[in-house]
Amino acid sequence: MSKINEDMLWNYIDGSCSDEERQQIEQALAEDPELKQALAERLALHQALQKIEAEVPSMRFAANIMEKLPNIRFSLPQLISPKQKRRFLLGIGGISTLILALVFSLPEQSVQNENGLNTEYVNQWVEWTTTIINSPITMMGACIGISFILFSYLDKYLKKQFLIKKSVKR
Amino acid sequence: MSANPSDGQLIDAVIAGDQASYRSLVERYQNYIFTITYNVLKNREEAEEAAQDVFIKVYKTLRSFERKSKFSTWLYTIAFRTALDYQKKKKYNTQSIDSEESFLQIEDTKSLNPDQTMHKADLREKLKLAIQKLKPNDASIITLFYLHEKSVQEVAQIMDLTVSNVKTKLHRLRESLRKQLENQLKTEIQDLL
Repeated sequence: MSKINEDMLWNYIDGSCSDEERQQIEQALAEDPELKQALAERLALHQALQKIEAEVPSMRFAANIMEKLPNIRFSLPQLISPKQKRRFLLGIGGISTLILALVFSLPEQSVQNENGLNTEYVNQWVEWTTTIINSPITMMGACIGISFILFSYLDKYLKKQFLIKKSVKR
Repeated sequence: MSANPSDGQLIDAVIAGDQASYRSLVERYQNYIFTITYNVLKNREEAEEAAQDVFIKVYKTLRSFERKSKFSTWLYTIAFRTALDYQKKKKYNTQSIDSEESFLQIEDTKSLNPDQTMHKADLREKLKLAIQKLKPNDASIITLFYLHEKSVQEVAQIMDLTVSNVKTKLHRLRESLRKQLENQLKTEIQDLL
């Protein structure tokens, strides 16, 4: 089939070849009767494929679907996706683990006072906690966390309200 | 609403609570969706059940359709995936185009006299049968491209494949169909001349 291969012929039929390729094919078609026959065969298949008809379901197909619809409620897009919720919980878990790790890694050379309380340990813990709480990152994290919880509840509430309205309408 | 409302208009009406508009959408696409599920499942009852499931899923999630792509592309994607899920459940035994024995054995017309040569309708019928015998993914590529008139890019999106993969498969599948139907195609060409 000269320099023209099957893929090039299909691209030519689909109209997805470049201008250069098209010229090359058309030139080869004018010179090579075998190539012309090869193209004609593919074109005949292409045209037959274009005329293929869709399968038809049973007569009651649409009616069956419509009968099921009154019992179906719309799924509403959620404000917060389950993926985001999982990430948030993992974040909380991570922060808690980090705090615990910090507490347990505090120096152990503290001295116990007369009541048996490890004052240095406690003082250091208070100091660390205060630093963490006062930091802007912690404040920002807390704000995001609280907003997240509020939005989750709002999402649930609105969803309930919407579904109630929908069922009342029906 | 106009006499022939667009998909977008029908979707808006359904979301606003007009269930009758959903029937119009179902009727518009039922044959196409059934063809997709039938190509994958190769069984009419199962295909019909899967196709109904598709329309119910679509109804439930219509609000989440972002209209970034055509409604038909979104619908066909759901149909193709639903059909695959059904297929996984039922573990259908399907055949591959790679296997020569598995492909439909098409009668050789060389042995027939001129009066018995294939007519166009016969060619289409044989072609339809040949497509039904293809592997689900292969049959879906052919039908999405030809019956649903989807571009290679849209077929790739619906089937979660790369564009080059779809293009290569499409060329290979058509070549395979051509070889299987060579004699019928030659008769068709002679009729045209």
